[in-house]
Amino acid sequence: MAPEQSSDQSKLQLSLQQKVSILLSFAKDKVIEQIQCVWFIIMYLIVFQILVLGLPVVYSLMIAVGILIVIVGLAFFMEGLRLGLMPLGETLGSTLPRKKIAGIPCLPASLAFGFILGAFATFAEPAIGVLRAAGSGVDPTAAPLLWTILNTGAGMLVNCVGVGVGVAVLLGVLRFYKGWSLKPFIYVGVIVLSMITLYMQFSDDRLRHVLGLAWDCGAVTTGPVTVPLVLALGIGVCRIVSTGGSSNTGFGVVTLASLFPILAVMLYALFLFNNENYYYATNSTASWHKDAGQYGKNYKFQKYGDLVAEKRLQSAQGVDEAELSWSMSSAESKSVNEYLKKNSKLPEGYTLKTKISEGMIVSNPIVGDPENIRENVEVQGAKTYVVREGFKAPDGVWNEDADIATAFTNNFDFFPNTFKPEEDKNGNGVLDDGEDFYSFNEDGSINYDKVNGELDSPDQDRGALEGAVWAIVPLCSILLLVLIGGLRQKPKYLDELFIGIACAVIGMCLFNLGIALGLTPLGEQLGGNVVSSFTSIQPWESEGFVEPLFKSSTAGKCLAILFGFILGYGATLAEPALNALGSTVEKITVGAFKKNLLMQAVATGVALGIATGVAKIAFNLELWYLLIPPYAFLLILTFFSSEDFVNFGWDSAGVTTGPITVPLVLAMGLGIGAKTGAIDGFGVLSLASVGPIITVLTVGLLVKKKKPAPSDNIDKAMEAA
Amino acid sequence: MSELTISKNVSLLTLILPKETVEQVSTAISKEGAKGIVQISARGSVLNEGGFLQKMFPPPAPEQQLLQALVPDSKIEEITDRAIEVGNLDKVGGGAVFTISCNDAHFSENFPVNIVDTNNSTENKAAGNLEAICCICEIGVADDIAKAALLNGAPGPTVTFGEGGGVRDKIPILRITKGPEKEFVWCVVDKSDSDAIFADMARAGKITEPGRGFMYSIPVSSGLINVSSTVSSSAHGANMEQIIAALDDLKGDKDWRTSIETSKGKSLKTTYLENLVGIYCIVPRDNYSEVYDAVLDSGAPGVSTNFGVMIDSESDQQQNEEWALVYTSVGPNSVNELRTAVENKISSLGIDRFAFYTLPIPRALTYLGG
Repeated sequence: MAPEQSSDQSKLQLSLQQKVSILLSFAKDKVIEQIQCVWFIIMYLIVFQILVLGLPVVYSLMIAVGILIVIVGLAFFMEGLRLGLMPLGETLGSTLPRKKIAGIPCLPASLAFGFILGAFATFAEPAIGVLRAAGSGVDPTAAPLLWTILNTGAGMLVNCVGVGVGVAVLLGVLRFYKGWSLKPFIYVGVIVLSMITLYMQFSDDRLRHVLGLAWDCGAVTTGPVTVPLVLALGIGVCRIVSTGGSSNTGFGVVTLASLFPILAVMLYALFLFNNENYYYATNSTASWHKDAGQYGKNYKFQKYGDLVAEKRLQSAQGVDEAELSWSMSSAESKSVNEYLKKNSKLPEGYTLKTKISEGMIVSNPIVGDPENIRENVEVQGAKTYVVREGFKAPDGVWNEDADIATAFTNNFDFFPNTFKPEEDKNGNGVLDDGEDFYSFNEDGSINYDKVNGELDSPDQDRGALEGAVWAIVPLCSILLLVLIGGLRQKPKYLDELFIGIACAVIGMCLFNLGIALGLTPLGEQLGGNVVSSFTSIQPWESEGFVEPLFKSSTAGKCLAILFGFILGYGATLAEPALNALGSTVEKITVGAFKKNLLMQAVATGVALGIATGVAKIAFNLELWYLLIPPYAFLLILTFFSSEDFVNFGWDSAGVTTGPITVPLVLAMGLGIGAKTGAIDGFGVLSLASVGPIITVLTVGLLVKKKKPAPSDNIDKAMEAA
Repeated sequence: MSELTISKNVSLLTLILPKETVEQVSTAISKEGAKGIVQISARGSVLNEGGFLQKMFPPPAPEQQLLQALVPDSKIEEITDRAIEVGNLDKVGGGAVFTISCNDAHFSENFPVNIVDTNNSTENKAAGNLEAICCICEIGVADDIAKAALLNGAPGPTVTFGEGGGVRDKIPILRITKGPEKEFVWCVVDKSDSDAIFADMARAGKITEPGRGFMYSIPVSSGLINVSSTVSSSAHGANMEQIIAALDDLKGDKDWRTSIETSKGKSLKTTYLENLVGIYCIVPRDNYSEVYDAVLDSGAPGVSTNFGVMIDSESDQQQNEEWALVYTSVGPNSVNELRTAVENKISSLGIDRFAFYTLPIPRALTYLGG
């Protein structure tokens, strides 16, 4: 570096070979970095499947290729974050407070921009597909409101979450400007959410089922593109506006962006509920209810069985006394009838039975795909009676063993499979291809438009590339437009920025592809198979039958919980958003807080959360038991923690449930839930985001205790001397 | 182009403070007459024992702030005393203050600094017995270097983040393969120790290998170093500086620190660059990239930059004003040439707030090729 060395040549000329060697060694480093993040979870999954469960890995070649793609994709994506997204966010953030956009003063402009960014990020990267997957097994009769929100209300759900995130970013930015602490936001947020949760838990069953979805929304919405962008933006803003004593460093937006969507979803649910606009509620505006005309509009919250009972009793005049007297006296039937009219359901202790002997089974082919003709089977001429529970009919009149009778007497639903559903070898219901959702048309005929129980999906399956482009390009375009067009600030290295964005798109695309090829099948088979620790199953995608690993189902469930623990730990370490958060924390504190500290604390927390979540599903615990106490505990922890750790800790909650954790955890949750009769797979994700807050804050408190106060030690030092 | 104010009686005041006392001290010294204080975030050093738990949960290092201000020699004593008083800098872990006398300093008209004294008399400044070592290295390496310094008895190496480049900026698009982020390790040590510490830091950071960084030392005119650094281990009740202080007290002086180490061969098989001059240029961060390029274009082999916030107590601050400290080092003969070139570039860009100052660099070390 001698002065003589300086040359007038401003660019170095490199030969092609040199260029390639630079790029190669660079790429090698990056890939190795990602392998270090990912190897643990992959090895663990494979070892668990083969050694503990003793099952082979199905599709192993495809999975191996998928995992390779994931690693390369992650390397690209992280590089994209480093070169493109984060510098873009930070430059924009640090420019916003200083320059006007089109004459609008800084603060309103920043706030508006924050809102738009938040809302837009949600639309660009809707994690709604994840929630739909979790809710795919939801039974509309058991949880009508939840089913409606996931189905006909999905578009509105995305809007709600978008508005929630938008308001959150807006408030987050306002907070930076005003130098407010994050703590009051947390106190108010958690208390309000807890209140609503308790209200929903205890006021009505229909509302109760939405809780899992609402809390999971908070965890899921902040994706791997949004988080780094919002973080970088916050850091940029804080570099400029946080003066003097305020310790705002740019964190906290993600926290708010996790709390507000929960609130938004809860309010949406309450709104639908109060307007009785949900699946088989009076005012349902869903198209198939409207199409059903009078029939649909008058639909009450009523199971099909209750409906039939009502009709039956209405026409009871035509039935002779002798028939009725099989079940009830006329006085009794009158009171049942009144109850049914008033409450739209059968009083306790009464049930429906069908007298099958005089009926016949008629099959009606449904017009459709000729390759795959389905039939709807109706029982004609069978009469249904309301009976007292436990009523034994004389032989020959009731054919109780017939499948059809079981189906009829099973309080079956508005979407009934007229027959008892097909069962797999373990006696579990299987949704077969032809299983139909149907509704009634105006003229009373049945409409079979919705097949296979598919959910209406605006965006369920975007292809890997399409999804990546959608998640990144519009968001970055807006940022660039505001930066260059609105603020007239040219970023230092525009070319680097574009390379970065391109890397992010390529990375995200490969990453999505790799997850679909590798991680999801691996997670699904393991998720399905881990159940074999406590019940006998047919292994995923293979023939045969496996006996439970443990005789005691509790021991088996404990193994599943342990599995969830380590799965959560490993998957979290591989999350790109958490990596980004860790690096950001390290950068902001000038390396005082090492990335590893945060990542390990968060991973442990997620592990605890997921273990709890698995326990919730395995033992069918109520979600609120598991959510409210930790949050109450968190309020106390938050009170005692330093502002720094409160910011990091709460933010880490939002980043944990990303594209690696979710498919793995969800597959397992659904697998276990299917065996234990849980209504949905919700709740695991929200628990997975409580855990890390607790661990990070605890670590923060432990670390703080250790630090010696500077001035007190002088005396000790003197004594030591 | 407006004339720059030139002053030769200027010292660079540097304070390393724990996060808690920064505000009080900066207010106090600015009342005392220091202006244009640049505040740079920094971290202290933790000496880890290693071990599984500490690897998994690395304990956080103390968060610190580095304050730098250009102060006229006439005021330096008062300001230093005031800082020591307010910041309790004489206590263990209270922080550090040291002054480096500049060769000269040039200010543009609007640069916030409190220097009116422009007489060019060069009095002989008393050389202190301290030396500041600064090592610019790749991100992630600083911990090893700080550890090497700590183990050699340097009190509280302090690390800041910044950017740096040189060769990187000459590669067209492939520069993406090497980030500009650098770590800067600062420590102030006794002159008697400095050779050993310098060599050991260089060895730990492999500074003499290509692309690893650059390090240099600056003579410090006066200083008081009590930076907090933690030895994170449950086995030790006291932290490192307590032990060092206690030993100092027992032995009566600080000679023991070097005498222990003399047995080891400390010489590096390399030649130092000697008698360079460090040029610092302070500009608003918005203009930093132009200045950065200007410095490189003017023939400097490498540039590094620290970013900080300018504290100005007089105006009621709503927003932080970010400044960049652009640094390069060149041989004494080309200083003026480089400065003029950069100055012209800056003026042509219409930047009206900037300052230059130069510091003597008796020795520096980097990869020299070959």
